[in-house]
Amino acid sequence: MEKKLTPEVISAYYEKKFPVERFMAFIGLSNFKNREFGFVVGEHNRFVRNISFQNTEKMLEFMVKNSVKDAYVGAVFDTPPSKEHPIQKIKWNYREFIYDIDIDEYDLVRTCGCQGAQYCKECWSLVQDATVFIDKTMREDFGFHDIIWIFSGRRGVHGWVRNPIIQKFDKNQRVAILDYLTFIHDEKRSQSIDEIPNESKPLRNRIYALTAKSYLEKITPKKLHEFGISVNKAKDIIKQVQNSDDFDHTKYNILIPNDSAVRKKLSSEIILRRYPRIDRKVTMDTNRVSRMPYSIHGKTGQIAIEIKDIKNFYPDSAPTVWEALM
Amino acid sequence: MSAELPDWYVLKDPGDITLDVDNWYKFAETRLERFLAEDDWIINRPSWMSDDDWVSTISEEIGGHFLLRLAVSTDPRLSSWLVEVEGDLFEFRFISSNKSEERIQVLKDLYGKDNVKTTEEINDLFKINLNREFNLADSVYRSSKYTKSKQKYGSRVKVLDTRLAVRFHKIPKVVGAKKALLYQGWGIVRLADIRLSVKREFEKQLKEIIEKSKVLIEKDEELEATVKPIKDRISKIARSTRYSGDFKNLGFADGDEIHTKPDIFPPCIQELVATLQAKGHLSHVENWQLGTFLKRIGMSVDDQLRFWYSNSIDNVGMSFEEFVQRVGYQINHIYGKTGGGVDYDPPSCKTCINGYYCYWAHKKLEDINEDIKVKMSKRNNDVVGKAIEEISRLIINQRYQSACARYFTLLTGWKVRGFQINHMLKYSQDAYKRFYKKKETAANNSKTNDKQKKA
Ligand SMILES: [Zn+2]
Repeated sequence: MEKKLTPEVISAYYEKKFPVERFMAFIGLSNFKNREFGFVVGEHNRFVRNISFQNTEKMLEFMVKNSVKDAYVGAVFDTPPSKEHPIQKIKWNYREFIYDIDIDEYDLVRTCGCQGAQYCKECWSLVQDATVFIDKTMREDFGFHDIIWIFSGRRGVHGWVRNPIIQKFDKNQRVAILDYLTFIHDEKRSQSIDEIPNESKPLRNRIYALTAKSYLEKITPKKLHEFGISVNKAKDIIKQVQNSDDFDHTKYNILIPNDSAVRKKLSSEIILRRYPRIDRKVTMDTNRVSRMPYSIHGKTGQIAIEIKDIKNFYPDSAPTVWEALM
Repeated sequence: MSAELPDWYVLKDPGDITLDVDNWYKFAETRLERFLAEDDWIINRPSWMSDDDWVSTISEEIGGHFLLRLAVSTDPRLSSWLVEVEGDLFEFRFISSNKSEERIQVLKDLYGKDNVKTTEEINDLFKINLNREFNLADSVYRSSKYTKSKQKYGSRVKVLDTRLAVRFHKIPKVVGAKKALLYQGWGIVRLADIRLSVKREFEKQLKEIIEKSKVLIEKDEELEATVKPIKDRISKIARSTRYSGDFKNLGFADGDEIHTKPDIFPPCIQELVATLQAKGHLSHVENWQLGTFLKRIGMSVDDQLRFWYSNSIDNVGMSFEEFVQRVGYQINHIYGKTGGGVDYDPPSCKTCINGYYCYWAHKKLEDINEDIKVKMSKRNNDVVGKAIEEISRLIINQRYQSACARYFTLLTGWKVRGFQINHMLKYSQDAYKRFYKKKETAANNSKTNDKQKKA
């Protein structure tokens, strides 16, 4: 399917199909005029920022008129951002807390052969697992229940946490959440794995219930044998995990006893292979702009739709702009 | 309201306290002397004391603090000294208090009343039993590094093991370090794990209050003149208890290559060197700590480049020249040859404890004990054993700089003034004096390159 994303197609989408009400409900009505937007426009793909709008009509007018290739939403400031009042010079007010999970973050541990923006059903499950894990952690550990997952338009997903209190968080508070979730360090080089500390019980239980489950149900007995488990025992473990509908840390503890030498090695391997990998820069930077929900991805023509059921979502299940216009 | 803020809590609104001006200096002096004595004192009302006497004891205590606050407010260096000593005292009293309601009240005052709860309140609020849900009873005994010493430091440790709930975003450092059990936005934390954050919060708020006193004093010349003698006194004390030496002139003999004498390196630096040699790399801040230290003890840029080249794994298959090209800028930066041209000093002990590397704060207690035993294997067992015990107790009470001082005493037989090490360079300077400097009187201070070897 070699379709060209023409200015006409783009404008038509924003004029007729862009779900304005849903978008407004998503980012909230208050202070709309003080919110920063950014766009990729024109033949030379110029990236423009420090733009704000009186209301959504004005925003859509701009997007239609300029046939914007990519659209981004930023933070809310105390005055409307503009060329004369760029965001560096005005006071920052608040910003959603955003997770960015991209399949290419897993390049070092993908075994299916995919690299970069490529994906298949097998490696995409890493993104699905990460989404479920983070979603649960944000709800159960941090008490944030207003979370929406948006397709990034190409190879990943964005989690928008919108509770008012988190939107006001400063950098230290945002980093605290990231650090709490981080077990893999120095992603590009040493891949060193933290031990799971005793106080992180909810996190540890979740690692065994979710991450270990998907690791163990996909592994071969031979590979598991390399950790010092007999092949027969390995086969048994795998079968039990595959057949378990309510696998949890208690079951993990029974299968892989806590004091065994195997356990420590296996736990780090599980984290290394399947634990969520988050792009920290995106979450930490409160001035960053993120892809506008329901907008078109300029390279793929896919729509950044809301993901209701990540377990059944694949990048090709997101509609393209051409489908939307049909 | 049954529970109230404790009387020793100096951030509390004192209500109406009247201080007799004639007694001002006496109150301020009393408090200063106690700080000077490094004596963390508790104020508890003795059963026999009358109401009036108790009120005046409190007034003296709080009054003394207010005067010190006023006196330091116009000098940032003095106010940071006061914040530091008041912070230590606060921490001590907070931990020593045997009334848990008192602690909750203090935390509510520091973090906001809706941000602190008891674990029982959390259980009620969420209809849950945290102990059962997360099997908390076992973790206290199995995990804590105090296990071995538990009998010895009984009651304090028990207090430190108690849990309470603080909203997670009020204690970001603790959450980031994975030292809080999180439940619905609440950090269920052991007192031991938040005491440092609590202290920092206290210090931050005290600093803000002192800033406000400054306004008061700046428009009242008479008041300024009145507190002037107190200010002068603090100025003297602050100078004597903190290291303010010249880092560029540490008194090493000319031509003496100090970096070839690792026995005068403080434990943090020795450990960093050992880690570098074993693992081939350090974290960014650790590189910085080691690099600035080596610079100040006189290592040249070139020597340092060679030092890092021979110890780091970044050099695999890389020539020295390539290495210099790739990472040389960092070392040049330390020497102020790039960037803003600042000639950096190594961080102070306080800074190391809170973000760089401190051997006493960051290494496991059991490993420290083992290290000392090995290092001192030729020394008298009883002496070493006693030192280890004292050092352990200091570490458990998070008095890392004093642990370092105690270790220095064990090593050198010299007492450390103020019983704490404040800077790694001061440590090396004194260790050098002890082991390498010609023992001579000031009178015949002839300059010589002779090295007196360690006995
Ligand atoms: Zn794949």
